[in-house]
Amino acid sequence: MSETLKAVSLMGKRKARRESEFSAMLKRLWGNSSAAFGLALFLFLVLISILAPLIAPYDYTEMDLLNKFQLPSSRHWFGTDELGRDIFSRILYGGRFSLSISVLAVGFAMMMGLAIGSVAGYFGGRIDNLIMRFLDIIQSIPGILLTIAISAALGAGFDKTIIALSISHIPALARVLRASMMRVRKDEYMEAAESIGCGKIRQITRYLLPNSYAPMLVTITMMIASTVLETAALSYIGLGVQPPAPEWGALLSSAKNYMRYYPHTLIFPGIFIAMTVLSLNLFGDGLRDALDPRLKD
Amino acid sequence: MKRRRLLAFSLSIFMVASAIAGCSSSGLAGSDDPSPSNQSGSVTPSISELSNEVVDYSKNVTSDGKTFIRVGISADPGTFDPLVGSNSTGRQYALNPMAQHLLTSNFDMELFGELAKSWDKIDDFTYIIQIHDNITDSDGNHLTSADVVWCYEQAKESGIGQSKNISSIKALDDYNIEFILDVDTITIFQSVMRRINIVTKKAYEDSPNKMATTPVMTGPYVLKEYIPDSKIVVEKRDDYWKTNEAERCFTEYANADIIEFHVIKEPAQLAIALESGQIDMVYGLDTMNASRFMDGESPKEGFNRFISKTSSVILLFLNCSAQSVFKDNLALRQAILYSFDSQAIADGAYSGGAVPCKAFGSSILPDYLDEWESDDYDYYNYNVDKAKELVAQSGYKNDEVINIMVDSDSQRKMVAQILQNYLLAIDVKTEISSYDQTLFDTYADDPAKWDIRVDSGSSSDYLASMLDGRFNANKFTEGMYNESFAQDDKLQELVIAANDPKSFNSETVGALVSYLNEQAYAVGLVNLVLETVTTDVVEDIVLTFMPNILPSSCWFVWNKR
Amino acid sequence: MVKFIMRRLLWLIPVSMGVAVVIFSIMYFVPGDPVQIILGNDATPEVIAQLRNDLGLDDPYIIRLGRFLKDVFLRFNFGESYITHVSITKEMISRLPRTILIGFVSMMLTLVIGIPLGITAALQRNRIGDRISMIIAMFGVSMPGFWLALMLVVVFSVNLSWLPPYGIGGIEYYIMPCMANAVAGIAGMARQARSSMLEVIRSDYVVTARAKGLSNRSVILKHALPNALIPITAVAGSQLARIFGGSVVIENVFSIPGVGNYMVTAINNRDYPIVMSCVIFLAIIFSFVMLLVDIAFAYIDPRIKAQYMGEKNTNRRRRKQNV
Repeated sequence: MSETLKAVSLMGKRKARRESEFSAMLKRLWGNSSAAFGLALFLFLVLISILAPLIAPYDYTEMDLLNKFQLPSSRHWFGTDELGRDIFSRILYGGRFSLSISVLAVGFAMMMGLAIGSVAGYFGGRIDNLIMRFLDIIQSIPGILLTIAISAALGAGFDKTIIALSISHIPALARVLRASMMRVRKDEYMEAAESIGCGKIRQITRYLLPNSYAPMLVTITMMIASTVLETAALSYIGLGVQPPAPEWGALLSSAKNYMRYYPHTLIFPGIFIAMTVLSLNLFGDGLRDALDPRLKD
Repeated sequence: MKRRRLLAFSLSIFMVASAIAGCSSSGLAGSDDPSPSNQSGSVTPSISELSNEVVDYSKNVTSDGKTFIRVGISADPGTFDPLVGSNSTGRQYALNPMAQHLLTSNFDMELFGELAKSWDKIDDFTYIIQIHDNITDSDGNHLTSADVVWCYEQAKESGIGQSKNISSIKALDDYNIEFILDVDTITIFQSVMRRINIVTKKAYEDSPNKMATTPVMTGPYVLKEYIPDSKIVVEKRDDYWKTNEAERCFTEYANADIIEFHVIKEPAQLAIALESGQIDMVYGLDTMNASRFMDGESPKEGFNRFISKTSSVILLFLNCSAQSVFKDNLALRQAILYSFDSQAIADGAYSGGAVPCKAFGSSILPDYLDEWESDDYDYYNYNVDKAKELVAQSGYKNDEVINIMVDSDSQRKMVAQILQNYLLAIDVKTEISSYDQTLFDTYADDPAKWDIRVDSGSSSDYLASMLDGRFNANKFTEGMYNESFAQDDKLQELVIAANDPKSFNSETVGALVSYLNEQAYAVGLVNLVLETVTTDVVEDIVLTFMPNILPSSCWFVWNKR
Repeated sequence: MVKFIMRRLLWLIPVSMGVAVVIFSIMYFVPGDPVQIILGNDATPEVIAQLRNDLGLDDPYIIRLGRFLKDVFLRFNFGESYITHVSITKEMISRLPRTILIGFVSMMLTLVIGIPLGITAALQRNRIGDRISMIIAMFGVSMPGFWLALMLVVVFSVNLSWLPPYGIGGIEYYIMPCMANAVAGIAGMARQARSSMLEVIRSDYVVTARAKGLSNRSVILKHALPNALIPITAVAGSQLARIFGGSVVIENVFSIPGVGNYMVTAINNRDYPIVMSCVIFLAIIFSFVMLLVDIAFAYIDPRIKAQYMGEKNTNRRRRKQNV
């Protein structure tokens, strides 16, 4: 009985300690100006994408075939594309596609990684071994090649692209979560939790996740950034979303044919992709720095 | 029909019916005819003609004095195997200098003998072909009628082209072959004669991989170097068998000693390659890149440009199968067709490299009727109000989403998007599905996969034969009927009548086209005008019947004509 | 150490088989009919059915998988292309060197330029050199590969005429492809090197070393650098994966007939044997190179060596891989 009480009080202390660590981390993050800038920029991009229907002056399919390839002007802030569509509007709506594809792909990978990693970490032994070997196999195929093959199998389209993009990132996340799970499993309060009849799933969500968000957060931030670039590569090959979806990679891909004549069609989507990747990388760097003392643990 | 076309048409009938020996070297650069339709390619005379300067072609000569020309192509041939069915543009480029057929046609649809010395039509279905007696391939093997029969038998087994319509083929002696076909249409003979590559059986069987990388053929060139996905180099044969140059037809001119094909997959790189002097010729360069080489109306210093109106058209098919939204709904079909402006599509997607169609095929085809070109001929001219009326009539509810299927070609994708916009304006909801070529070809046969299909087509001969290929139910599996899946006996009747040599005339063709238009199963959207840009060593270009360019037969500054 | 290497080498075999099974399964689900491509559009249904039968495309999954594994791993026969009937092994022999050359040079550039760049940036923290190189690095990782490649072509081929825009041949044909592929790697490596160097500089043992009175140079070279290299090995892995994957785009832009080009064309043609062979080859090469990288870093840092010999598997290193 006293053992249980001890365990429970330890749980409480740990929670409190976690909270103050969290706010300490936030303070460090805020202090790091480039990380704050990165986060702000990324949130800005997300915001304008969400508000696209309100901000965009035109619909993203609205064509003005007599005014193709217009240079930026007061009527079209970023000019018009090869079918006379307003590039600014297309970029705003495109953000919805690009950002959501990347975030959802990584989110899906995270869920799968969580499931696989926690199972492997929790059960250990043969199951763990088997799962790890399987992840080794997936990881030995260079990521973009795997994505291309899966995308070819699933076909073009929004949701299919998300799945194709997520699969190559699952192993990395699964490993992070497994490592955390293995560490946490050894802690005493897990035994305590089990002894008071805490279900496995509950154990995972209450104890595993909060303790592993640190390394995972950095990984995820960088992963979203690289997924944006991978989506662009998919569009280059001809996979990815269906027209007329103004996903940024697709915009870039169709603009490359006019690169030398109307570079503005290529520059603006490129800038937005660069900004996304940039902001996520800055934020991720800052996050890593902010979590630094914890990483040394 | 124009007089000239009638003349050409009867001339070809005459040529088939009587025995004409050998070839003629006609059909080139008829630059005295101002209409862009009846010539093999050039509209812009070369700079050398204009300024009477001698063009310096030293950078196109190798160290041992051989002339060479470098052509940029966008796809690899894949394989040189002559007996494989694929006829992709990459293969055409690679095989044209080396592979030969019994007969061939030029861009003006005139028939010439390559391996054949003479050809006779004995009755409706029977033909006798006599081949030359001195044909040798690049390994020195002698080609006889047994080889011809063998090649055709292989083709028939694989179902290549119209070879399925050969009911029997027999070698009468070493140089005479008898063909018996099972149908008699206006183009069946040419189709069968010019589609199948002929090689010696011995060379094919001796080859370690069915000539995939080591072709041994009878044409005027032989393969010198092949780096898959990168470069194909062919060189002129000194021992080409048709030694009498006067007998050679246009496919047998070897006007450059060496031809290099550079495989360039990135479209932007094609223009860059031409600009930076890596290649000398690009066929079918898009208008925007082509204008880079123009200085106002004339080509820039060091370059030439040729415009060809071709039979290539962009087509629209409406799915009329049993479960589709268009079945038995003429109003909706017509509404779709009235909703868009073909001129806008030509300008939008092709930037001037196309003209609107006024029929299912191109106006350069011989059986294209003049009346279709007249201003008051209504080929579903752009009429939004009428379209909206028809939509209301049709009972279409705009919760039903119509699927537009297109392949991965960037310009055709633009056509689909423009179409989507027009349909939105008449309150018809659509979504676009774009697939790569393989999947597109597979799904084209599946009525569940599309409602509207944007496709490309061309004809080597007639409008009627093009319609035959697309709408003759005999050519499709049971239950498919035609490319629009429309079960229509009257259409079938009209197609057969228009393609029967006994009834092929402007009435039957006109009736077929009118009926097709009335039923709104499919239309031609735009007709492509192709630009070929070259360096100034090229004086004139020659096109094949596909159409595609034939670099070996183009005229260069070093040829004396 | 030798035991470790042997174990890793042996491990390559089941991994390759696993990769083969995975890629076979993926290709099994790709829609589209290779037979239609081979025969063209006018083939009769009977001929199509016959060819499908001949190629064994109608057999069930397990049988086809078994046949494939047997061919590849027992007979080392990767088969022929469905379309050209050219032996795939033969094609690979001519194509692999090109892809590997570009990959190798890109990787070398990434390591040789990226790491020193990052380390110098770290040592000059917050001074102008640091800021500038990090800004450049930021842009380097943010640009899509084909965009950069085309920009290079326009600048160096069209405007300056220094380099040929496409093709293969002498060294000058490979300069731009390697540059295009390496830029993102250099940038990424520089950033990682900088951040891990910074982390190390703040650590206890560096402080101790300085306190001991060692010269700055000695501190950096003997204490900081080897430790900083550890997380860098993890990034090296993901950079290599990126480089191999990037070959698809680079080879397309520069018309280089390498493995990436081979694979993409084959996917479009539904030429399954080629796709599967490409993936298997690249996966094996990737694993092998990763092994070499691991060994190299083990020699640089004895701690890593101890780790390899101690731990049953290399999770800690792998965990940081995709960061």
